[in-house]
Amino acid sequence: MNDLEFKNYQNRFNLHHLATDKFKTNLIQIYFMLPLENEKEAAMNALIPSVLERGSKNYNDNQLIKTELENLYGSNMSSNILKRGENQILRFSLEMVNEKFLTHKSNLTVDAFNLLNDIIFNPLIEKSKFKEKYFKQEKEILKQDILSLINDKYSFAVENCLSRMCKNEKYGIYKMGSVSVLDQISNQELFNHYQKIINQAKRSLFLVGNFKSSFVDNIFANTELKAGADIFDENTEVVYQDKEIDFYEQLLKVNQARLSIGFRTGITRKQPDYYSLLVFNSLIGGSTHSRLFQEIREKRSLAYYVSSSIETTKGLLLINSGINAENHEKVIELVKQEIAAVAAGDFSEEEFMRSKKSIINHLKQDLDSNKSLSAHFLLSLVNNKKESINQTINGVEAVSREDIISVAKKLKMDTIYLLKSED
Amino acid sequence: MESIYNKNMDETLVKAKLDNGLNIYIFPKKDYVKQYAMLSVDFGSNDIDFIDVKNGRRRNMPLGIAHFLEHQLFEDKEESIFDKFADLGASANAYTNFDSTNYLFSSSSNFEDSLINLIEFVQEPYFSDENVKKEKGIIVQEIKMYQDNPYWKSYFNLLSALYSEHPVKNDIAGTEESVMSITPEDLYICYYNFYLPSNMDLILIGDLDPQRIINLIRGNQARKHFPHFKNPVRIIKEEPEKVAKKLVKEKMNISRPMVQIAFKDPVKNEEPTQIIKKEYIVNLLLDIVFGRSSKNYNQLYDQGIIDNSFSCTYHKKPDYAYVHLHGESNKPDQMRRKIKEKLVDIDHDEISENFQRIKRKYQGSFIRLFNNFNHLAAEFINYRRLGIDIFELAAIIENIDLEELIAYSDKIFNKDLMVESIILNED
Repeated sequence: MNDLEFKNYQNRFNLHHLATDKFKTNLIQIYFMLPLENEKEAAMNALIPSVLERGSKNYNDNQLIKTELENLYGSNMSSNILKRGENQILRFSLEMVNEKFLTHKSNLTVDAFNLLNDIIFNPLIEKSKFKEKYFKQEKEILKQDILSLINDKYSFAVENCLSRMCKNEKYGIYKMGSVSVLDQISNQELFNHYQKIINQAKRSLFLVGNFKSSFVDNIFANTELKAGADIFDENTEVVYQDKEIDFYEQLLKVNQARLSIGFRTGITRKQPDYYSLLVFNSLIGGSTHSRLFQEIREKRSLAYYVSSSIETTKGLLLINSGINAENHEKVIELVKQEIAAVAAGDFSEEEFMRSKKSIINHLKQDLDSNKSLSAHFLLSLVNNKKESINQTINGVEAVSREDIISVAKKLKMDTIYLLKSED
Repeated sequence: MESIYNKNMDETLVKAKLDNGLNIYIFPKKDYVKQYAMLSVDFGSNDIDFIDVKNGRRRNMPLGIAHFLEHQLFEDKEESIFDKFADLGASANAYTNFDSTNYLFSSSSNFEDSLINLIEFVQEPYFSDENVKKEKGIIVQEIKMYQDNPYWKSYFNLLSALYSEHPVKNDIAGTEESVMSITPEDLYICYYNFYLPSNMDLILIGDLDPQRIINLIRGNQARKHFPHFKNPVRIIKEEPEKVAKKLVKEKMNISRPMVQIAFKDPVKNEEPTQIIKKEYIVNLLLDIVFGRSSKNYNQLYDQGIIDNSFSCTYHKKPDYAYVHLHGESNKPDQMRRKIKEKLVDIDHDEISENFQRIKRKYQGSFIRLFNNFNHLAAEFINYRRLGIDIFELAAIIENIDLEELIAYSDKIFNKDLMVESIILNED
């Protein structure tokens, strides 16, 4: 099997290049990493990409930017705010079709990259600040974005569980900050913060696809991305302690109650038992063959969804389910019971093998998507443990039953959050 | 077996039809690790009223039965179907929409065994009182989950305003009451009416040897007996031209009001190519008039009336069609008024000026389609059911004329056929 690997260009840029002709499109991503400090900084970090995308020096408004992107055969440009461990990551992505599939000749990649650079590095400035109108409007839209979390009850429950569980840690800060701090942010302050990011934040540049060598070789001449440290995490505090389980209940008019249970694993990507955690997660709740899905949904029809997920920079595991409120104690009991069963080694050889195969299958499929390749590489880079997908697969293959038992024993239930109806 | 190579896209499509009527479509993808299979049954949530192929009786099924049947086929006498796939390192899933039920898996090894698993579980129904009862609990939770989703809620409110007879107005999963009324017998009736090989398409994508795979399926199907039923006759009650309701309002716990607007587009008998072409023409038109690069979008964005939650699409099927615009806004009444104003008075020059560029965007998105297996399979079957192979889309897009856009721009946004669905904040 061919392994698709990112190669690091050893020079003043943190350029990670994965060369492949597998895809119809080429992908370029620019990352900036900022430590999660407080809600105000988090909100500023989230606000900056939106203000930049409103208009740049050469493309004054969003209509011009979108028009240019359409001219470039519907190239996609987007920005995202990610939270990995106790860091915020700003991602600017650009994806365009590979010129070779076009019937007309085009300099698509170069033109699109110039546009992206103009937006990130040449903002539209008025009186040495961002254009006031864009600043004001995007602040209002960020406010709406933060408030709209309530529209998605799944994410609402997840975020409310995590913010309560990590209330004394930086991780408890929402990735977009909070509405209450927005009033404190001035345009000048935001612009100064932007310059600080451009000059000082950790940064990285990813390329995935079939780029002409002339483009890659000259890329440094065509970007104002400055030299700096790569996006390695040095901030995250991994909390792993014995404590009483906290229980929170929130009332809201809903048709379905949502239950989120947070655990501490103490395991991050850097540690050897990371691979065991992957297999454990698959066994307990990562898929449809998992214990929780089988027990809570298939056997007892208590839920439509019940699943677990892991955060491997901070060392967390979360179990989520949508249920009838009156069943919440029963479901919590079943969750405890299933984890205890795994800790006691009470799982079959078939279940063990399915869990491994399922992870390996998903990892292999990541090789077929430019965005998955990049997401996998991002996590390994952040955790300062660069490995290819095949190396991760080898790690998973080597996991034993005993390894899973020891992960199950390590798990500490921390916080239970229940969203349910008022009546 | 027929093989079509598309030089521009450097993609091949292999087609075969078995004696029992099952259609097989394969996209061989050299050097890809992922393998993807989808068995699509031409039976969706709209198919609740039909003439039984066995006895000629008219059947009126409970709402949500196609979706219930999808869930129920994952039940087996002994082992869990999910586990069977998991043992092979494959992961299975399924989804039901208005016009089809789709069973699928993705794998990176053991493709042939997984494929046989897929065919076997879909072609071997097992519905018991006990299993049906158990599944009701799960599906009721699924329905409740969607009831808390404001977009879904207001979307179906919108459809129920557009249509008074057409079944597309009903939620795909049905209602709590309709689901609770479903019996194993109902499921068997739908099963033998719609789950015939001649009513199914199998789409396979990956680094596969088409001849070998087709032989494998042919061997499997030859060992099975299927009754020689013709495909069932579906009854879609005649839909009046006018809309059912002009406005539906509801309150939910949300951050700000949600506005959805639709224009009903009454259907005539049209050729498949015409249907697809019209779908593209009106979508291009919408992009010019209300897309991200449009004057209207940017004006209203500037005025704080809409933001990037806004989007617009034209949905076109042989038996129903409508223009759909939606977004969140703190100024819902202004948003409604402005959209109406802009759409009834479209500037023809604006269409001419932007036409070529927007067309390019669609050419780009056609190329992208081949990047993602799941997306490719879903789009492929969508067009295949209309009688068009996906490669033909390139020419359909290429052949769109400016005049056609201009002609539709005066007709399609008919105020009398407009409906609105609004979700307001709970007090």
